Amino acid sequence: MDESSFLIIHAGAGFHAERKRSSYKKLLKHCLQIGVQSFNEISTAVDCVERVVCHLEDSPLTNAGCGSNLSLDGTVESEALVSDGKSCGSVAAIIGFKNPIKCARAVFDNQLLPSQLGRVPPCFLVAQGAERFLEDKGIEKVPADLLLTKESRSIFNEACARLCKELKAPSLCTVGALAYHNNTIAVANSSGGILLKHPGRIGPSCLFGVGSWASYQPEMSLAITVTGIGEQIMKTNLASTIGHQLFNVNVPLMFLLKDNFQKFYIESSFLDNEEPLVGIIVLRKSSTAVELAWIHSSKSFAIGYGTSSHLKYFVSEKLSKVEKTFELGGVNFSLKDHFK
Amino acid sequence: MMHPVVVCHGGVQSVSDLNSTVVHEAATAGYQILANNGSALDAVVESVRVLEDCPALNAALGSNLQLDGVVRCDAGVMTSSGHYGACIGTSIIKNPILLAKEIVHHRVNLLHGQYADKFGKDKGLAAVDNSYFKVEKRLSRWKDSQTLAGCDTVGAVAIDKDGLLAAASSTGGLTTCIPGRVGDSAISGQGLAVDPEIGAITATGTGEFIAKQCTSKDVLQKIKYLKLDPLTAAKETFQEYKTQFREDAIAAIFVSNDGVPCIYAESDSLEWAVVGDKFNASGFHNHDKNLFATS
Repeated sequence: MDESSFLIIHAGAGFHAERKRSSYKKLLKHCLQIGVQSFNEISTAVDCVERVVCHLEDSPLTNAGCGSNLSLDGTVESEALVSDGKSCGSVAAIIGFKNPIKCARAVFDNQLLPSQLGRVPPCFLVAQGAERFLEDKGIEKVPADLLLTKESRSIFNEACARLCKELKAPSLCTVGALAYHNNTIAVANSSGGILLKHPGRIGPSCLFGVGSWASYQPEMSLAITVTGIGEQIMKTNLASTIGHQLFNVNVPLMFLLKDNFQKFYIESSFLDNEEPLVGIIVLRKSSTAVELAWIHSSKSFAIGYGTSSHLKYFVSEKLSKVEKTFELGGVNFSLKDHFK
Repeated sequence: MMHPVVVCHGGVQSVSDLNSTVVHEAATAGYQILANNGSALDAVVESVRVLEDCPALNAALGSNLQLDGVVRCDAGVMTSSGHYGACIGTSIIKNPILLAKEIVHHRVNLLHGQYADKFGKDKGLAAVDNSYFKVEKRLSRWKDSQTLAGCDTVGAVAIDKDGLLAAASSTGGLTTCIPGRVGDSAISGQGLAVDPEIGAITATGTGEFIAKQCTSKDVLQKIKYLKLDPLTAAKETFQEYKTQFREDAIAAIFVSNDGVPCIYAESDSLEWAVVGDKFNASGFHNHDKNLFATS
C-alpha cells in the first residue's frame, strides 16, 4: 500500500527487563499513535518528532526528561537535538526543563528568525547560558526534582552504594525519533546521559554527526540516530560515519546498515576490547520509497514504526549471547505518486 | 618509520597586526616533541598551547568575549588510536588544550563549564581569573558590539614516528555571541577529525556552519570514498559550504597518514606553518603551490 508519512522511534537500547516489556510496548504504541495522528495536523517532520519525543520524555520509563538517570551529584542534566537535515538545534547540560526536546527546538527555531546585528545565531547552547535563553523563550521549567522518579532515585542510591559508575543495565541511553512528512525529514533525540555520569559530562545525543545525523536533498534524504555507550559513539562518530554509507538505493537499507555497522562499529579499531553496545534506527527516503531499518548489538532495543495505516512496536531481543553479534530488521514502503 | 610533521594555523581572518612568527613557533615547538620521540598527541597539544598563549589569536589569552562579557573557551584533541577529549565553555583554565588532554587520559570525553574548570584545577592545571583572557582589542570589539563574519580558531595536526595521527583545536568562540554558545571546534567530526586510514584534519570558519556540514569529516569522507586527493576534497567540501551557508571564510589543515601536509583556505588570510623532518615553511597565505595550496 502506498503511504505518504512515516515515523520510526526508539525508547532506548540496553536491557529491558521482562516484567517491563509490556509497559515499553504500551509506551511505544501510544507515542506512535500521537505521531501518526500529528501527520494530519502538522506541516513538517520536525513538528512530528518533537511531539513524539516529548511523550517519550514524559514517560518515567525512559532515560530522557522525567525518569532520567541521575549524575554523580544527584541531578538530572539533559541534552537533546533536533535536525531537518539542513539545520540543527541542540542543548546540553540543562537542568529543570520538563522537555529537553522543546529546548532543542527553540534553538533550532531561533535560527529561522531574522538575524540580529549580523550575528550568526547559535545551533548549540549549554548550561546556564542555555537556560537563560530558554527562559526568555518561555520554555517550561519545572522544579528540578520533578524529573526524578522513585525508580531513578533508588537506582542512583543503589549504584552509589555499590560505587559502580558505569552500570550498563538498566540505564538505557536515549530516546529518538525519525520522520518523513510532506517532503521534509527530521531526527530528534533526548537523553539524561549515563547513570552517575561525571558532573559536567556531555554525551553524543546533542552532537550533530555523532549521536544523530540527517541529510536532506530533494531526491534522497536520510536520518539516523544512535543510542548506547556514549564513549563508543563519540569515538566512532557513529551517526554520520554510518549515515554517509547508506545512500546507495540499489541496495536495501537494512543490508547496507548491517554491512556498515559491522565494518565501522563492531570492527572499529577504536573500540579496544570493549563490548559494543548500541542501537540505531534509520529512515531513508528516495524518489520512490521510504525505508526504515534498525539494528542493535545490545541485548534489547525498544522500537516502533508507523504510518497512517500501519503501526508496529516491539522490544527486539538479541538471541545470541555472543559478543559482537547483532539483530536487525527493516521495512520498505512505496511513496504515493504525488510525493515522488 | 614515518617522517614526523606538524601543521599549525592561527585562524581564518587572522588579525592584521599579528606577529606572524607565532604560528611557526608553535609548529616548531610541536615538532621538537616529535623529534624527541614524543607522540602526535603531545605534539599537537604543545603547538596549540603556544597558540593559546599568544594574545593576538582567538584562543585562551586573547579570546573573544561572549555577550555577557565573559570569555568561554572550547578545546578538543583526537588521535588515530581512538582517543578523544574535549572541554567546552571553560572560563578559568589558562590552557584549555591541556584540559582537553587531561580529559583524554581520564576518559570522560567531553566536559563543560565550571565542571570542566574544576576537573582541570583538581588535576593541577594552572587556573586564572577570567580577566586574564581579555585583551584590549577583543574588549573594544565587545564594547562596540562588533561582530565578525567568521570566527578564528587555532589548530594543529601532526603525525609521529610511529605513524600515529592527531588533531587539536582551541577557540574563544564568536564575539558577542549568546552566553553558552558552543561552536564546532571541540566537536569530533565537526572542527576536527582523524581517520587512521586517511589522515588528521582541523577546520576553521564559522562554527555553526562547520557543525551543520561536519566539515572535517566531510573532507575525510571525500578522500576516502570518492578517492579525491586532499586538496580537491577540501575544495569540493568548501564549495558546498560556500553555497549552503553563503560564507567565504573557511579553511583546513591536514596531514595524511603517510605524512604529507596540505593546507587549503578559501579566504586568503590564513596564518599557517609546517615543520617536520622534510618541511619548514610558514606564511600568511601561501603562493607556493608545489607543497601546499590555497585558493
